[in-house]
Amino acid sequence: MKKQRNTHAIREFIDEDMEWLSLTPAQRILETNKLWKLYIALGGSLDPEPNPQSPFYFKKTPR
Amino acid sequence: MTPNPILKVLSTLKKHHVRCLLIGGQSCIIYGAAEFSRDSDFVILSTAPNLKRLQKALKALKAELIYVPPLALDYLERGHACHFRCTAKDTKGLRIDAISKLRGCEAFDKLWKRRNTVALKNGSIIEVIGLRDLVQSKKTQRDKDWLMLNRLVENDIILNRDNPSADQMKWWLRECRNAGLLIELAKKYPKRAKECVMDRPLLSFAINSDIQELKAGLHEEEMLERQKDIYYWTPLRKELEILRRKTKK
Repeated sequence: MKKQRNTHAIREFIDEDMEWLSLTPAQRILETNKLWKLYIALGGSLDPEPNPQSPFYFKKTPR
Repeated sequence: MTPNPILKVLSTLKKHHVRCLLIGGQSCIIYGAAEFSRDSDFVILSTAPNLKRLQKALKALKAELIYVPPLALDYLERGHACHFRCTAKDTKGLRIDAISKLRGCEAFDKLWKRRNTVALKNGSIIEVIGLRDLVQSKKTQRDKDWLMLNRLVENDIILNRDNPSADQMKWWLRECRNAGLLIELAKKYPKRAKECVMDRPLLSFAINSDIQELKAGLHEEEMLERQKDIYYWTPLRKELEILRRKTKK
């Protein structure tokens, strides 16, 4: 089989993220479920982080 | 609480036949650009019957409006987003944001036609905004959206690099924001790059491998889009300010 020749920019990217990218969308949802479980167990907040760049950001709002 | 309250929200919306598409951080997970997000954002069809269905679903989730504007067709049609927080057991604390117009994107019916459907093993179905529309929706005034946009496009290049269609090559050339990668794409697909120069003049720098000019062009392109987004939201923010003051009185 002819080996895919990757360019430099692409090769760097593959090394970091290929494992996650190789999952199907449904598998990614399953994996993120595990992160949810951990996140909730650690008492993580469900409020979005305040982002002053957001058009919905106003000082002293529930955000 | 269930491990993933987003899935509960999705199944509730589905159960109530709400015509909506998953957007934002959760859709970025589906396309591989993120691994986790607390966001639960939807673009919804703004019709009276669909709004009624949404209200029923929100009631089932015990979702309370936490911000202005109220959930109403006229606000949604002007481009506002409505924000809720769930109080039901399985989704307690989860935020739900609903919007019916995405700046720079086509109307909901077009987004719906181009959607992706993800089927989970348990039989659940997730209707998610199409990749190209998601990328378009990320051209906002927020830094984090531009980071995500870059990843979404690069992922598509990585996943489809072995056998891209002409249409995909052109989309990459029009949307890729990584200067090095754009130069490589222009070398690999010179004919397509020339075809796209009219739509995206900075591609001439990619064709000439002029990375400095290309980076400057990409920066200018991004600043222009950010400014458009600020202009778009300015009147809506003013309206929100008025509503906020009224609510406080």
